[in-house]
Amino acid sequence: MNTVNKTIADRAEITLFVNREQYIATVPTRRTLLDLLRDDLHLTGTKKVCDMGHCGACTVLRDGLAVLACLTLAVACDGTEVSTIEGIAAEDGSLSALQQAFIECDGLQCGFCTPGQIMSATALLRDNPHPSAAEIRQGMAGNLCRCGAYQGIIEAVQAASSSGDE
Amino acid sequence: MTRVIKTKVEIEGRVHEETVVVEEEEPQAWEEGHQFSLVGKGVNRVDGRERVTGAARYTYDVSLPGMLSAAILRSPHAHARIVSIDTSRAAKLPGIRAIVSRENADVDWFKNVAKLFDSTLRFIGDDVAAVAADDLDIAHDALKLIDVEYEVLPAVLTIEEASRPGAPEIHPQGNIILHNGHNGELFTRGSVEKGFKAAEVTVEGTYRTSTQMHNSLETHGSVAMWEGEELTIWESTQYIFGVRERVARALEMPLSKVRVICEYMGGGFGSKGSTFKQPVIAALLARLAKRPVKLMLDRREENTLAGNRGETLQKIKVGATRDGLLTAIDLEAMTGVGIYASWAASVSGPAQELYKCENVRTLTLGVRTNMGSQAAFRAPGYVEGMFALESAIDDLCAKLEMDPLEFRRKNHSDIDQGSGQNYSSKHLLACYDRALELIGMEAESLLPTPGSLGANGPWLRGIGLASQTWGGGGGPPAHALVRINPDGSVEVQCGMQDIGTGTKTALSQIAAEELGVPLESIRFRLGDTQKGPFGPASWGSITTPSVGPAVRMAAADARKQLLEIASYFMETPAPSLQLVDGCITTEGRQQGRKALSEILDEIGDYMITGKGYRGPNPTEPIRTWGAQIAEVEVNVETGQVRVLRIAAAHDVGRVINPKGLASQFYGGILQGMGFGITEERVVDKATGRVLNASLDEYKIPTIADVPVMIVEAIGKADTLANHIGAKGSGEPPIIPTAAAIANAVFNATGVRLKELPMTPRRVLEALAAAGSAHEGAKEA
Amino acid sequence: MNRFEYARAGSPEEAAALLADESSRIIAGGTDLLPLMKESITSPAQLVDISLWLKGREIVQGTEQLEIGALVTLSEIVRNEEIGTQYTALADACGLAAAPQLRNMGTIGGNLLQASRCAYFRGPYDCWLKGGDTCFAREGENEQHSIFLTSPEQSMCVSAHPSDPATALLALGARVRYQTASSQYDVDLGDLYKLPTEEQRSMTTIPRDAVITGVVLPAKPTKSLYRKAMPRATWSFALAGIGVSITLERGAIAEARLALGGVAPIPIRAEAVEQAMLGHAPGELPAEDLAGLLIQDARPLSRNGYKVQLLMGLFKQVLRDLAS
Repeated sequence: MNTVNKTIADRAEITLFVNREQYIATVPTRRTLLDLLRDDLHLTGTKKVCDMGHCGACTVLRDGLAVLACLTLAVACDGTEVSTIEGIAAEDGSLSALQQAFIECDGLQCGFCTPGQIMSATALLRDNPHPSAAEIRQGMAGNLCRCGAYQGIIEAVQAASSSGDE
Repeated sequence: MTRVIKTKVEIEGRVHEETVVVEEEEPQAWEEGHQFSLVGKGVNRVDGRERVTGAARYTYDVSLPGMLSAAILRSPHAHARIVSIDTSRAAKLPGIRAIVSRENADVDWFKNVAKLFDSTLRFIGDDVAAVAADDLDIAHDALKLIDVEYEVLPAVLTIEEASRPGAPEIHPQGNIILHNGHNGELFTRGSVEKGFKAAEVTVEGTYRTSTQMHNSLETHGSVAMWEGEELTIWESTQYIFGVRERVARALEMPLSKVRVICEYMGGGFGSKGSTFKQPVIAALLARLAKRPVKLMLDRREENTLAGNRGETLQKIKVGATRDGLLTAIDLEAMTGVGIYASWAASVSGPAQELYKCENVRTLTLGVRTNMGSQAAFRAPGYVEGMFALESAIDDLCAKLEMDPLEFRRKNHSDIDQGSGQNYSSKHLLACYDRALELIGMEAESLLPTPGSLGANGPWLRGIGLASQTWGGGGGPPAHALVRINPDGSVEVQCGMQDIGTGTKTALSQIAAEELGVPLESIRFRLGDTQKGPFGPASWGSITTPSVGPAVRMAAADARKQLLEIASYFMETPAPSLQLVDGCITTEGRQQGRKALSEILDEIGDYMITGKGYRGPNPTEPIRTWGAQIAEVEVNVETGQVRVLRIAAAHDVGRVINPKGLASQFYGGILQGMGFGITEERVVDKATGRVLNASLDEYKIPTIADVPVMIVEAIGKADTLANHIGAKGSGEPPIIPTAAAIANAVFNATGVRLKELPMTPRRVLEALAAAGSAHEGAKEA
Repeated sequence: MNRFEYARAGSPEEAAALLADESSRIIAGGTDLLPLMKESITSPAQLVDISLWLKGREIVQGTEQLEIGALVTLSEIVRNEEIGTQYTALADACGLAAAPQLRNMGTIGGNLLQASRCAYFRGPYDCWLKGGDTCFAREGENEQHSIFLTSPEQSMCVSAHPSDPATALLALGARVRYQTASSQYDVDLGDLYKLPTEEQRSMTTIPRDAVITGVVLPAKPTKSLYRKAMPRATWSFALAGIGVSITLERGAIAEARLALGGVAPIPIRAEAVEQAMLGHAPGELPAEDLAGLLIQDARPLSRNGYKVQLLMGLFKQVLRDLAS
């Protein structure tokens, strides 16, 4: 594992795994994980909405934990494993129970917050496979949706949790 | 046959007579009771998979080889003149590829008012210069190196100040929008003087609503790419053809050389109906740099300059007879339009339309300030106007000691009072009844007396009702093409866009229904001005009723052609053939059934192309109707308002996709709730800067704020409006929500909140004022 | 964001050494620092990432106290059963702060040092706290600002302290440990904060080159809790926050600590109310009298008088919950 100790000037070489694939990149230290994913790795499923940690649209899993990519420096992800929305469906393209439930329950409208919602819900169900409606409201509170698809999101998380394969 | 006709078309709450070109005769209407296989069934979004996997490509996600990132230097002053501008230090920064400013870009923008880069800057955020760089960080570094000397001018920041006689003139066309040469728009029906003379009970009040910001999650923005003389723009927009026209005009190019693409769009709510400067600035930078350029607004810019629902100040007076018949409504409304908007929101619409009332006068003033311009925001004007009107009506009911529902039934108008005609359809009374059932009230009458619903500690419970009216009839022009491929797969083309409302899904249902093929065989292509005939803007609840009939007609045309071809091969007259589930059968017989592809195989590469257009509107006015009932709790110690339940029943004509419709209803209610209790733009009065231009400080509802929502469409087909029987549904659900919540707060506390949003500050201040008034009354 | 160098420190000692460079800043969760950098409020030339200091992520239960490493995240505190049962106020506060992803990232050490949320401070204003001459909020938009300690003699800056955990920890009588390259410190959490002065425009007493290493909770109280009023159901800074801890003897309150957040430039204690609570059973506290006492020193600004009422209402809620 390549570890950054101190950067020379303002760039660093980092190695990280994104959706189980290894990437080696030289990045400016000021690049966020969000920009790394979107601009360098062309994984644009993770959305930029506020870039300030105020909305949850850029939620990814970093070493399994739901975090905001816009407030994570790419250089700090050296040696970590990042999962994004692009890595949620199975290799054969079949959707996760949550993704399917978001479609069935119409837990989305414009879809711009949806990748972040699904990443948060994925983390929520992993930690708490059968959340109550109140726990879903707390667990999903860090993902804003301006279309107001929350009702469908609550139903989708409930549906995926009872489907049992999450 | 091509004909030129005049028809009434409604845009964002305003009805215009337009001259339109229509072609042939339209299909027969789908009558009430028509047996459908797909229409009216709740289906999943046809593009759900793309949206849940991150595969959907939004404008923000477009990435092209060599693409640069752009950023804009914006005015730090609410009103100033540029004395000098020097970009030379920025130009020397490594990684900077192009800079545009008034020095090298002379482009007209707001006709006779301002250029794209004007020397006069009229709000904090007005465009000064733009840079394109290898990455966005470098672009931002460069902005700090542009040297500008400003001469600061007096600014006017509030509508009260701007409308005062002698206020500094901040706009070449005056501080108040002119209407037929007069300040504001005056509407009269009957005589309010007479009406108030006849009134035995009157109430009046001054109501305020705050500026609401759209906060679409995808910000406004563009990607521009030149290929020789041809320009392609990816734009986050509600109107690709509108962007094409605006960009072509600004750059003095023929329409044929500008292509606009928007396949997925991250929310607009009205703000992306008009074209902002970004696509033109991106195109200028791309031309200079000879590379594609992406220019997306950041969140602060989005909340500073990309539109808002302007604040209102409404003075309303209503009068009625002792037995509860409305005799007069008088409304004077000011609405803030920001600096460059040239229209005022229809704040007076509800006062003119909702109730049967012979004497109505409204005056609507659109007032300019040195703030970012308004843009349409989901039922512009109606949300604000409905709050004042329905609050005043509720007060009137309290004074009359009359049940608010009884009052509304009594003052219902069966006809359109402007034209004296019947509406194409109106089921408002059914909406009241249904909303009452949905909220679970047993009684015929709605409202318990204030305070009687009881309390849970400091939380007092209340219930309130409000009504909804809006257009939503749509109209021409709208076109669609249906192509049937040799394998039986179907492509529907229309140059419109799906802004997240589920348009693509509903229109696919209509096409599949009319053709007689499974939903899965439809591929709906939209979002590209080069890949389809003209489609209208996605605004004003017009999309389904405008484009739906065109799609159906195109499908019917394609089916007719197909059956004529099949008739030859199946040796059966075409009128006896049917297309069901992708197979052609002879009416009443099972044998001889042929799959679509079998017939198409016979004709080789001939492509069946069906054409459809949206025909004229009927002479009857088309409107949507509805009612919502809110149940709330108000904490009288902390001033917090909690919305517990909202029941909503709306008359939006025939429902195409109940699943998508429910989502529209939920979303409208939540935006209405935000407008009612948490959302307000905060402006620093010394500088004119928006202080809460972020999703942190500006409070949109979270998932934890969601009340129980019980929503339903009455669902009766409006076959006079158009041959699919649907009316629009985007705007209706947001219109009554804040008003219903305000009435519920009154019902809980006995105190009338006349200012939105009902934040802890406003609730506590109103309770304190009412309390001291009460004390005063006791002492006297 | 400005360009910067980035260094990793495996221990507080290493970090403190790297902080010798005047333009260095510590980064852990990054949830407050990065937004400040993106808004150009601060532009450090070097970031010292301490997040790989593993010992800083431990929660250690001692016999008389509980020590929480500075890098323990708010989520980890919420999930910790000891804290949930013995120091409920802290668990409440961490659970009510921000949103799940931010709680997964934000550390307790960073949370205590978070910067003002005042829009003038965060925006392009040369405000007093940033070294300017004027507190723009004092005459401007101050609906969410302080109602206590607002006279210019007390504090030129009128922003309201945003940390929920700080208020809870103040009520719990916590101590804070930090160290510089040469020394280690162990101070009352209350002493971590001070009103800003002309010379020191900061709400904390911790030296620039110091690293917070942990928070120490003393012997557990009989009961503690934290309540917060927000402008929406969740994910908002407190309009007001109240932390309280009590120790009972024979059913009566023998010790009480009451702390307020979101209403003064720093977390503050309401000592007069604490005194007045003594000797009462939690269910028999004179709510109206105490609420009156609580706000007797309130000096609201032009637009936040409502907060006085709101604080009283929240306090009554706290008393009801304390009794139940």
